[in-house]
Amino acid sequence: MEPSEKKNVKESEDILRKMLTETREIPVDHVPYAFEKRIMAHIEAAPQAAINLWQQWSQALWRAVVPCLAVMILVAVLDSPEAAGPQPQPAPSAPLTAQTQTTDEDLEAIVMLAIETPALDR
Amino acid sequence: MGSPVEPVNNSAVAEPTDKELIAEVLDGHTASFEPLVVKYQPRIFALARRYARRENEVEDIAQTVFLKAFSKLSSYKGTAPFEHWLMRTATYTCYDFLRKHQRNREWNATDLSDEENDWFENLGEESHAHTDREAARALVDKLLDELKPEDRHIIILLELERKSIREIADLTGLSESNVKVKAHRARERMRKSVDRLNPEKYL
Repeated sequence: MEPSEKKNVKESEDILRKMLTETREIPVDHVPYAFEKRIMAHIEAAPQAAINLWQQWSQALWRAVVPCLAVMILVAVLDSPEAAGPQPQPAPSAPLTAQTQTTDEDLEAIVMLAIETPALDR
Repeated sequence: MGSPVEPVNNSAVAEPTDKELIAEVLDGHTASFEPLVVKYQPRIFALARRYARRENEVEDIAQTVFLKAFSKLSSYKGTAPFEHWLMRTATYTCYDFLRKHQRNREWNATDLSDEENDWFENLGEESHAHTDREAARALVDKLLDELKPEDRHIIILLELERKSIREIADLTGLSESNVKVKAHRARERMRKSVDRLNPEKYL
């Protein structure tokens, strides 16, 4: 670093230090009038808001009780067997029929085979 | 002969300690928080004024600090003084403010007010006039505006609040060496900005 540059750096460093020192000396701790009252008013208002929120929630729940009960009763009535009317007879199951038919045919084929096979007797 | 001297009950006149007040607040006596606010509000305002220039912003920061402190009072363990705990909350709140109000503006000598130009002109003189100090403060604000929020936070704590490197590391969550490096770079940047702002160099 050149000597002139060093001098320049030192000079600007001194200016910065002076700036910061003077800034530090400014009293900055003054408080607006009755600031603590404002804080306390906020604090006292905050729990009240929480209580109101709970009250609103419980009121909404109580209001919802009647419609919920009505819906529950309606669903129960519609779902009961009496309300549904006569039930249709269940259709005979197709696989079972097919199984039965197959068994009869097999039996008939066995009988016919036994009758019509003279070669076996010889 | 004479009646025995009764011990004076000092507890009747002594002010309650922070811990006693906090215990009362946690017990449901909200009003006991007010003496704590009265006691510490000058310190909170002083810190907030390092970060914000406008009075409404300063008041918002101070209010946020006390409301946060009240709502999180149950998390105060009592191992460290209440003041430390409160100042830590205040420092976090101020840093949040910086991040939300990031300026990153670059200033030039042509942007300086008459008072700020005068300050540079009267550099050699030992003046303690209020206007001079306000001009110095405005200039420092301009220099800080050019820094990133984290660097600005470190410089405020180090140069204006006179915190140690260790305290800053504790408050910012950075290592001590990292704080030193960041502080050095930020200060170097400020020094270069001084050169740019100095009207004598500009002319």
